[in-house]
Amino acid sequence: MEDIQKTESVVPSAEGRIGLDVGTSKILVARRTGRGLEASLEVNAFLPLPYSRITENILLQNKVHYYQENGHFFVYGNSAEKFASLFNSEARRPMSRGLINPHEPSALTLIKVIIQGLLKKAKTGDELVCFSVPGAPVDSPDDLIYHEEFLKSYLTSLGYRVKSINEGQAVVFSELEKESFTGIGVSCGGGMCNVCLAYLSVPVISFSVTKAGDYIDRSTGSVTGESSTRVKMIKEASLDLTRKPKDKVEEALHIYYDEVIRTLVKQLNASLGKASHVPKMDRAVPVVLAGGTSRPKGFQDKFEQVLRESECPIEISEVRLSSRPMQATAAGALVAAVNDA
Amino acid sequence: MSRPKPTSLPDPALRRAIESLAAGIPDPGAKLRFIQHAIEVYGRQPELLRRTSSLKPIAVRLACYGALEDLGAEPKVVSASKPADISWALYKFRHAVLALAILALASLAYAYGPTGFRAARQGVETAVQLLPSFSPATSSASRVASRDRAARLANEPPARVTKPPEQVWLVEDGPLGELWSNGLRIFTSYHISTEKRRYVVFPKDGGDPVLVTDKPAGIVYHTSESDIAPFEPDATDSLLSNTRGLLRWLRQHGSYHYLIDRFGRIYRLVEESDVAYHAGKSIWADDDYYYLDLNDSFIGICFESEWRPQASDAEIVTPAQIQAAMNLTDMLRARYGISDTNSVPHGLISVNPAKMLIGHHIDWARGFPFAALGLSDKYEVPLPSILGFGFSSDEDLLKRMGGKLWPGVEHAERELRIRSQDRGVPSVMLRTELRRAYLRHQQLLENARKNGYQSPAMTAGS
Repeated sequence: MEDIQKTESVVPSAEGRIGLDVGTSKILVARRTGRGLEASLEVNAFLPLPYSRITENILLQNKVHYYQENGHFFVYGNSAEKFASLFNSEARRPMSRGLINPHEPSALTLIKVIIQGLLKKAKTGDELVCFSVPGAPVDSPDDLIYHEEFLKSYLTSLGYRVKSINEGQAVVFSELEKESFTGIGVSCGGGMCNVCLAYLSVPVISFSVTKAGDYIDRSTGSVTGESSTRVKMIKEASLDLTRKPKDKVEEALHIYYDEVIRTLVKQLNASLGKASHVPKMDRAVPVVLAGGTSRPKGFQDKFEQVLRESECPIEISEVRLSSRPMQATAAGALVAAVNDA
Repeated sequence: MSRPKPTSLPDPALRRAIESLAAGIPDPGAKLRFIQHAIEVYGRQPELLRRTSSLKPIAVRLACYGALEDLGAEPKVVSASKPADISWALYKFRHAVLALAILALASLAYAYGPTGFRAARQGVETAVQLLPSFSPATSSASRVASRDRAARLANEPPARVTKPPEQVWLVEDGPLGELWSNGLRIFTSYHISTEKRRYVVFPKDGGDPVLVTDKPAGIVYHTSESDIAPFEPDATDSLLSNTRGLLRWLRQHGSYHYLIDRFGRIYRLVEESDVAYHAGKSIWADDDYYYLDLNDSFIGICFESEWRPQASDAEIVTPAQIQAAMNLTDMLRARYGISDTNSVPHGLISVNPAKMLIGHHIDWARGFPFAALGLSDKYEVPLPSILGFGFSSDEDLLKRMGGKLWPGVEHAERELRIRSQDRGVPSVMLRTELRRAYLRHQQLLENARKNGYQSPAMTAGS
């Protein structure tokens, strides 16, 4: 078979196929169009504001996404953080640590509203959405069933056929195509870091840890006296892990980033070590990093350094950063959706 | 360093073959489908093929070619060697090859007796074992089941019954008042003039608002919530005194068009052609129009009484009041062509726009004697303020209503949920959209009042 190098294939249609990344901090939808992959994003956050005509006028003038309930306006999506900053307040999250936030009474409504804004209702009965779900957290007893079933039920009510995909596996589908979907996908998001080792697309191990971007923001905020929102803004705007920190916020960010990476690598090694069904790898496999938390400069190098220093049970060929870290999960979910003809 | 225990999944030979073929598939979705299908088909191959090292290449080829065929693709050979060509050709004509093999084995059995038969049987069984793996993969995608709308509709509120009032005409108009053909007597010495009736209605089909300048569109029934003496002979003086005090107050404020006192006497307080200030912020709808702020458009009839959520209509009003209200309603409906739909109690129309809540006032929100007045039960009607403009109820209203709201609230909420499902919009979004529509209507109404109803978007009606 070695002489067969090319295959004339029929490309499956991506029409009516949608990848959906339901993340703690952002919700993304990916579609394939004539122009290639197109992704749309909404921040998965909201800000309740007391009802008043003046506030409503401000919201209408600014074309802000909101709805009104129980005497409050609920500003949601991309505008939530902007208005939180404007009103000197903290935006709230419908999700926490990768799952529906059980302490947030408006969580279900907000998630529905944001998803509906991105997806719209299915036009035909054949449209399929593949949405991402986290792996089982190794450091938390959280149950995934309710989260997954809620999303399935809601997407079905919009008229879609629905399937789910592990978030780490989605990264593999998106980023390790050339390796025939063999390798380790790591999605470092807001509420969780998700990891999946796949062999020829088949997930061998998958897990999640609840130390991720929010943990870094919250911890940095608590030791520096800054709000989490402000820490997040600093982190996203200018953090460079290759440089020496220039102030106490950056110093704390370096410390907590290091903590997250070490936790992740430790859990990866532990999971690989204790898994009895990991296939024999006759060659080294790549690790690909994705997600908003992996974006600061130096994250990839730091991760690789910690991983190489550790006793990883499988041989790693390279550690690379996704070329589209924010969209990788949604893009991988789209690949899974297209695959389901 | 501890290494994980290896397993047999998936076989390295299969992986190599898959990777070799997958490299030529440019589309990620197609590549994924090919890989997953090849693994699946390989798993279905007979154990004999998968476990025998000399036969394993056959299993691998069958799996990979099966997956390629399912994808509608075929391998393209770029090197000079031919084995792939041959194996692909064999695969393509596998059914004919198998048939020939079976035929050859059968011939063997015939030629060599029992020994040959056993060998042939084993060969045929092996060949037959291969057949399932050749059957084309079928993928029948499940379709989303359509929602059972019929089942939902079965729970919808009952149809309204609209019974037109009898013909009623003015018989006598004397110094003490009016006598109407249905026995209705109206005391007219208390009435005042306010401002002339003009109002705007909003077509439900989204058309331009319509300006109406003549007849009222409906009737709103109120209770006075004033001092009420027991309806007993001994309390006659108190009953009369209370009514006199109430009449004075109402006349000063132009509060209702009519008051019906405890003895069933009817007083006209405001000319029917004028506006009375009885409904405040309010919403109602008939089949064609939404009515906002019903002072301008509806006639207000007030029962001298005190409404309580747990009381029956007999406890709230006297038989004389009911008889009088029936006659008055008949007259007004006959005179102005007022529909049954637009004869409605105050508690069902009153809203609080500041909080977008229903039930700002709740008089007659339960217990109105519809049947006695020849009217259909409006408590069953899906509340237009909820259904049309996204208003909602709150805990406070529930408390004031004694723990239970009237059925029209739930009917409207349910219909709203159905509409949101039909549109694939979360109900809060639909509600917000409706509330914005209410604000637009209100703004238009205020502008129309300010400019004397000269808005260009408005069409004149009657």
